[in-house]
Amino acid sequence: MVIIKVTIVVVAAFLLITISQRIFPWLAERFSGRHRLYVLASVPFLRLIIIVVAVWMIISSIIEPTIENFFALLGALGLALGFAFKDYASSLIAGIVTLYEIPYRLGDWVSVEGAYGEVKSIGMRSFEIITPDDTVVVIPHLKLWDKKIFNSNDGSRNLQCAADFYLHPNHNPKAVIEALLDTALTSSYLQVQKPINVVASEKPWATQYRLKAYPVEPRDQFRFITELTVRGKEALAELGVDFPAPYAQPLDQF
Amino acid sequence: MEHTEQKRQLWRYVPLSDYVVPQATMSRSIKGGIRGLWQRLRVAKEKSEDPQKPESDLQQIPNIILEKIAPNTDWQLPVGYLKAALDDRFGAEPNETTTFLVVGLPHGGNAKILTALARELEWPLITEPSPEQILSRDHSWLKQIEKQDTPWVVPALERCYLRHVHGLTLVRQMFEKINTGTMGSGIIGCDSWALAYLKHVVPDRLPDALVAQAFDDSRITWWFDQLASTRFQKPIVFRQTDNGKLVLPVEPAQADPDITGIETSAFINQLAAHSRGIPGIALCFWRKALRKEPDKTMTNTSLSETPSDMKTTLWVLPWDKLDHPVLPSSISPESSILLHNLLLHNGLSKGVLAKILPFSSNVITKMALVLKDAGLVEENEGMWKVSPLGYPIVRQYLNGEGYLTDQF
Repeated sequence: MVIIKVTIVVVAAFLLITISQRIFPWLAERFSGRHRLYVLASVPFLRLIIIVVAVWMIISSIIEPTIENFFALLGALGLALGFAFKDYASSLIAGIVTLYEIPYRLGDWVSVEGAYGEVKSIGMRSFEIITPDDTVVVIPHLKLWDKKIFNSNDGSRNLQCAADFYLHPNHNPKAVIEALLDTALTSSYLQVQKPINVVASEKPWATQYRLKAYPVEPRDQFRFITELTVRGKEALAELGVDFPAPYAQPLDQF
Repeated sequence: MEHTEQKRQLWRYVPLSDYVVPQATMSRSIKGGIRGLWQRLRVAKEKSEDPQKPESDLQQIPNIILEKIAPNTDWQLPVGYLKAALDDRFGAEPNETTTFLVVGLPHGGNAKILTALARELEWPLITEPSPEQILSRDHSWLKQIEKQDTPWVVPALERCYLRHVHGLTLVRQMFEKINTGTMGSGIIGCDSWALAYLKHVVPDRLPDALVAQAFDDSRITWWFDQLASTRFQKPIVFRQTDNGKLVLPVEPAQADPDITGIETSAFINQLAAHSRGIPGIALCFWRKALRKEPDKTMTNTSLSETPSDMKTTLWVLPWDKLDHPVLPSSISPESSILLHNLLLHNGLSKGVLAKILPFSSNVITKMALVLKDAGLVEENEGMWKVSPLGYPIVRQYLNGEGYLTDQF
């Protein structure tokens, strides 16, 4: 009888989690902007609630839910899992940690060990991102313990983009900066309220300018960077600025 | 409660910080809900007493009559009020060269009002530069303003820039010259969306600005009443089709015994809030909501041939029954960008759109036609604009999407 009850609870919890992980992202696609992010962010919380309720129902059906029994059970489980499924258990625990630390949410743009993309689903053991090349990358939560996780927008719609320009050092920097600022300011993808910055640095073979600005919609980041690059180069070419040839040797005169 | 005289001064020019967007009041919504529930319960018992008119029994009002009941706005009317507001400010600094911005909202008729003002005062009207002049940074356009020895009027600043790398130079130089005093005195009309964008573009201080105060419930009520009575020349009672309530309250002195005691509907409150107090938009919704009873003897002009002492009753569709434009479910990010740029420039031609947007002409045409079918944009003499009926929903959508919107 207990086994049947536990099985029912596990199956029900699994089904509820699976359904919520499918329905909420589907629902989120019907929204846009911040409403989409709110819907996506509710998925892990719902999953946490389902897991807690399911675990409590299982424990209370197997043993009398006293403090002593609870700790004894946890100790036994910890010992077994520690030996048999170390990495799996580590990912599961990291998955629970992500629920309150929230290093990434659905809809965030993250980079983990060179893989960059939008978080499309967060499971109990791993999460999935879709790269700009439409490739799904499955990343176990245990990366949380010892790897750097770069989150570009951290739950907001503010995702900074940068377009790089490499110019022959013989140019008028003030005119270049003005042209690049206007390139960003006139981009249709720009989030006008956010700051636009131009950062210059000298390289052995060119002067690098980084044009930094925010698109209205994080999903448009690659279109935005493309537009900044194309229109920026047009504007710079009209100023008479030369671009160094690709793979050029370091310039003798600098 | 606003003073009656203030209430009846339709056009009031105020500093931007004094602008108040009409709101659908919470108490009104709650009261309306309770009253609506009570009305429903009461209707079951007293159905025969309620002058409800099923929509199917009513007809749209022919344009020829609509032009008498709710004629298009005469933009000459606000000129006197604007002139008085400007006189106060020009008079305050008689020895200085002064430039003022007069900010207008989409479909608020700002450029037409300023054109009428320039004609009345015989001030030079500076026509907008062509897109080619803007993109080539043609200084001759600025020089024609500098040559003026009387105050000048630029009616639509939104037509003097383009969201293009080369499209901002002219407007920046203009404000630079204004701030150094080399342009003399003048009035610049500017769309509210263009102003929001230009605040990020122009590094110089922008001139002091005035804006026509929004039409709130009381102003819209008085305005519609005046429009109907001025040209129609006989009393009209406007009643809501679903509950028979008066849409425009009748003065107690003129009230008929058979309409005495009838409550006023919340239609105008909802209209003012939805149209954000913009007269051109409020009037479009008003014209769309009006209905008349079919009459076999009534021709298109017969409404005006009834004896002048007889009251005419016209019916108004409930706010919820009005056919509002809706955003297409498959609206693309590209369409959002198109709508946003149309608002930033208060309308653009297809040729200019192709120059400033990162899309091909074919894509722009396709998007524009989809938005036109949805009633969100309209084309007039080659210029594409967000339509008056579509503006409230488009503004709400773009604001939700995180695009820059005007402050009104």
